[in-house]
Amino acid sequence: MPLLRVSDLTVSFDGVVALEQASFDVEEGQVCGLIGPNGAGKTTLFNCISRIYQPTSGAIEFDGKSVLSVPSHRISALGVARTFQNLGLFDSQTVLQNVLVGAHHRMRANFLTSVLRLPGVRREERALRDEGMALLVDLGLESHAHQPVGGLPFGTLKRVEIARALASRPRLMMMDEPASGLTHAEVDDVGELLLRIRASFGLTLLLVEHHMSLVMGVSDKAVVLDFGRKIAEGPPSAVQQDPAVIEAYLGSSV
Amino acid sequence: MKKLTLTRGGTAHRTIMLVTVLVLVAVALYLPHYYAPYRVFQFTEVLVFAIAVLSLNLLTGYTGQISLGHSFFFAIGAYTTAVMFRDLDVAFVIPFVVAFVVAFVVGFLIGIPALRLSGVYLALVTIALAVITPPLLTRFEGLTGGSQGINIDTPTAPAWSGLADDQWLYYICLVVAAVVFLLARNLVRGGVGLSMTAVRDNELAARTMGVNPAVPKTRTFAYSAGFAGVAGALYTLVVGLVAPGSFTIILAINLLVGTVVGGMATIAGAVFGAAFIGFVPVYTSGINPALGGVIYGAVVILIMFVMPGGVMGLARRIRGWLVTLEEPADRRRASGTGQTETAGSLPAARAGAVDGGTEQSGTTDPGTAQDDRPGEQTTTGDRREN
Ligand SMILES: Nc1ncnc2c1ncn2[C@@H]1O[C@H](COP(=O)(O)OP(=O)(O)OP(=O)(O)O)[C@@H](O)[C@H]1O
Ligand SMILES: [Mg+2]
Repeated sequence: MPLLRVSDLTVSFDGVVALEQASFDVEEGQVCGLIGPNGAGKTTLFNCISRIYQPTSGAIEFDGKSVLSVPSHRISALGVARTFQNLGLFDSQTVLQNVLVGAHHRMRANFLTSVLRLPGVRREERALRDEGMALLVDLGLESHAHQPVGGLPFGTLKRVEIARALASRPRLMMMDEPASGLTHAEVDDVGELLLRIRASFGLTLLLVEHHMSLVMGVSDKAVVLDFGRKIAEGPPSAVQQDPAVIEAYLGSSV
Repeated sequence: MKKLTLTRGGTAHRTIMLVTVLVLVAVALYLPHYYAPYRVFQFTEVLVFAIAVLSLNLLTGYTGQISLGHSFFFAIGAYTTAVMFRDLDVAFVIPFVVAFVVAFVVGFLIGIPALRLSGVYLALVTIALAVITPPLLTRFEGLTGGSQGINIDTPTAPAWSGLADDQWLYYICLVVAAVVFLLARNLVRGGVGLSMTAVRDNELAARTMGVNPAVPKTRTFAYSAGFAGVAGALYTLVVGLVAPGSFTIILAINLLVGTVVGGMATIAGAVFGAAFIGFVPVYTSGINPALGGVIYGAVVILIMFVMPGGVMGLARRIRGWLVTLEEPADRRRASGTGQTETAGSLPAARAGAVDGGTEQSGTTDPGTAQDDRPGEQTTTGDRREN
């Protein structure tokens, strides 16, 4: 059984078809590259899995269970985490605090226990802080831990999003263009980082990225979307040679 | 000027915090012995407002739900208390608890439909609450005393205390305010507080991170209303008269002004905001009785331009000029050690940290007590003669 199964997924926005009958599987432990020209429907697909968009038809199963009946705030507890293409950070909070929100579904404290600040609340808070700090150390972000996310560079914030997603202890991590807006050297770092966290956290990765060398370098398989339709799927080397894929990219970049 | 460097939670930092807290507490305790009774009464009112402003700040500052109807919850607390004093023979603390519970429940119930609204729309609907409060209070005459309202006897100082009545009332309000500020501080400082600001900053991302926005929003609505109810209860105790005219939309607007002037999403700011709405209108109408309101409005606008973060925003900026706060190195090392001990595998290191909890990290909870104290009032006034 695949960890993630997307079947015949169709999404339309007032006539604009963002996804059309898209189907693919991601096996546990795989890195699956999801590529396609601008507007192909990649982010839309993430938003469906996150339950931000309601698909017109089709099915999404995670670990054998349909996610389409699960509200968006329960997705993270299922073991699905994500980063956002254009960042979705909490601007008033520090880097560490953002990461702590990532661990929200594991937090036991509620309003009543917090207002009284029972001993359990303190203990849990300390444990989660230490854990968040360890994550930041692991991602080389510890020097920013107590800075507000406001003034930090885009590349750093992309990394903060990764740390925040990891804080939920996901099984499946969806990354929407983790290397966008980075320099060449930084892009290489991202590739290494992805493989490293995949190994140390036992992750399955669904990776949307426009840097072809990066996706092709780290992915076990690639799925190609164009105008909402899947036009190719397979090992990165084969997909790159696929005439339909070349056509789609040439067509869009000219 | 040379900047002072402090380590967060270090000895120097903690000493400064402790001294600040002690000074503020001492000032707050000494105040009613220094000033004349009518001034003490004003400070007492400021304490009452401080609780109400804080209650609104929880909702508007932290979860971003604008309420222009907090006079409604204030009135609920005030009338609940007045009715209890009139009709029942109740012990001293019970009215506060009942006022809190009644306002809390009403706030929770109103918070549910409020989930569907945000920004101006929520502001508009809450304005409606503020607008219906006085007519509602007038209408149910049997319970509320109609337009005459309800008179109660304000508490008198017990003989053992050796205090005058105004001093006694002041101390009651100080204690209740200290408790409410502590509870509010507890609420916002941990993970629950983060869920509140996360929902305000980016609701969609918050949901994706596992926060159900309805939870922080409705709970905060309830606690906010509950604390406003406590403020209302104190108001009844202090003023001894509740009447519909005291709970108009002007009160609601003033609470919002106090929130913004003190500093959105701050705890201690409520004290400054309350001092502002308590004293400034009095002074501005002293300048020119006819134009008092206009001058007051102008002052509010001016403050928004000069210090958009409110008093607390300004205080932070000044602190930034004077002091560099460093994070303690030991906390970082603690996490690092945990990692190597478990052969670099992070999931394991994290699991270790969960039940382990290194001892020094518990000692570094900065700036808490200081922010909790309503206190410092340095307005000039007439000396107490006693
Ligand atoms: N909320 C929305 N309302 C209307 N149309 C939308 C919405 N979200 C996406 N679309 C449309 O759906 C199509 C797919 O968009 P999507 O953002 O999924 O593309 P993408 O593959 O992520 O592109 P990019 O590489 O530029 O990020 C586009 O035509 C877009 O305009
Ligand atoms: Mg996209």
